[in-house]
Amino acid sequence: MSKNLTISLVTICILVFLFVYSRVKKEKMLFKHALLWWGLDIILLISIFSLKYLRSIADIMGIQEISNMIFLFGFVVVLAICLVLTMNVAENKNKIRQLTQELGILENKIRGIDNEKNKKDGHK
Amino acid sequence: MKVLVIIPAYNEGENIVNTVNSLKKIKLKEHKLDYVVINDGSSDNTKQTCLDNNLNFIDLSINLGIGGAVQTGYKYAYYNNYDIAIQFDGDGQHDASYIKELIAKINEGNDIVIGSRFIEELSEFKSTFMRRFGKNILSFLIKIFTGQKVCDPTSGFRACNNKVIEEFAKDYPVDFPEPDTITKIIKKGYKVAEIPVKMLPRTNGKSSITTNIFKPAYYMIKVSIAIIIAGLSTKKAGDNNE
Repeated sequence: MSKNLTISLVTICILVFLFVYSRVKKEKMLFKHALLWWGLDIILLISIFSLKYLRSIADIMGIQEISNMIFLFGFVVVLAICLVLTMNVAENKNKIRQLTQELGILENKIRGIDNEKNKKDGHK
Repeated sequence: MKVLVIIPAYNEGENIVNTVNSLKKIKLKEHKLDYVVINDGSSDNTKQTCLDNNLNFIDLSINLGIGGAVQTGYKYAYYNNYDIAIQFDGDGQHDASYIKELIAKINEGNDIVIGSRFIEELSEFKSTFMRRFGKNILSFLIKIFTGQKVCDPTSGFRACNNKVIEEFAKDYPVDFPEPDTITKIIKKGYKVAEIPVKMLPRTNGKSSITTNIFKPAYYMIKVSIAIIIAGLSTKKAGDNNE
């Protein structure tokens, strides 16, 4: 892998790490999601500095360039993160549905109590 | 026995009062018939109409889709200990005079009774060839997975007893839920029956399915897959007793 590519990848990793850290600090990202991105970051960094081992893994997998393998790996991890996020969306949608339903039922109950109270007040 | 009619309504401001009035005309001797309108985050005047006419309604602050709206009704029925719940469309297409028959069929020992548009040719509102074709595919899929023939799996006019109310209050699919739930319910060992009903033409507004050419095709694919998943994932009644 060329020196320039190594420097570019390391720079990207550091920037992503810092960006995710700043989001977590401002509570704009959940810690569990930050861990996913930091995990990806660390794996990429380890990969960049362990070329010897990567070479043999690339040979086993039939990939000619180590850089291709790193990108492939990154792509697979990003897909996995997308999958986790899709599941989170479904989970949140379910929670919103339940909250909306319970809120509606509660509001109906309160309206019923108010109506009865108004009727009683009207009779007085 | 306490009977609740669940009326999901999305932008049915023009129809909802007539729908509720048609229900109020039904007189039952042995049952107490209540209704609840579920305003599914309508953007028209449905909520205001319900308030002005003092209707019993639940206002969902965001649009949850038909499944979410109907499930709200089942939860309401469950929390208030209703014995029978009846789904009844807010657009005025369902004929309230069949409610007695639905209840009678539940009292015969069925857990869920579907008001079917296809058992007999009663309907003045003829459905298209494509609609029938689609319905046949869904019936066929349900037959494969449950062994029972359901003539009108997409009918939104159906009644169920308190056991099914509890099931639906706890678990109900969001989109186009009827065929999906029928598959699950039959597999769980509940008794499903059908009675022929007459459908009335819409008086106002548009149907949610037929406004677009692609929607029916998408509907068919989605519902077919949902039936297959429900058929494969729901354990048959008695499987746990081994």
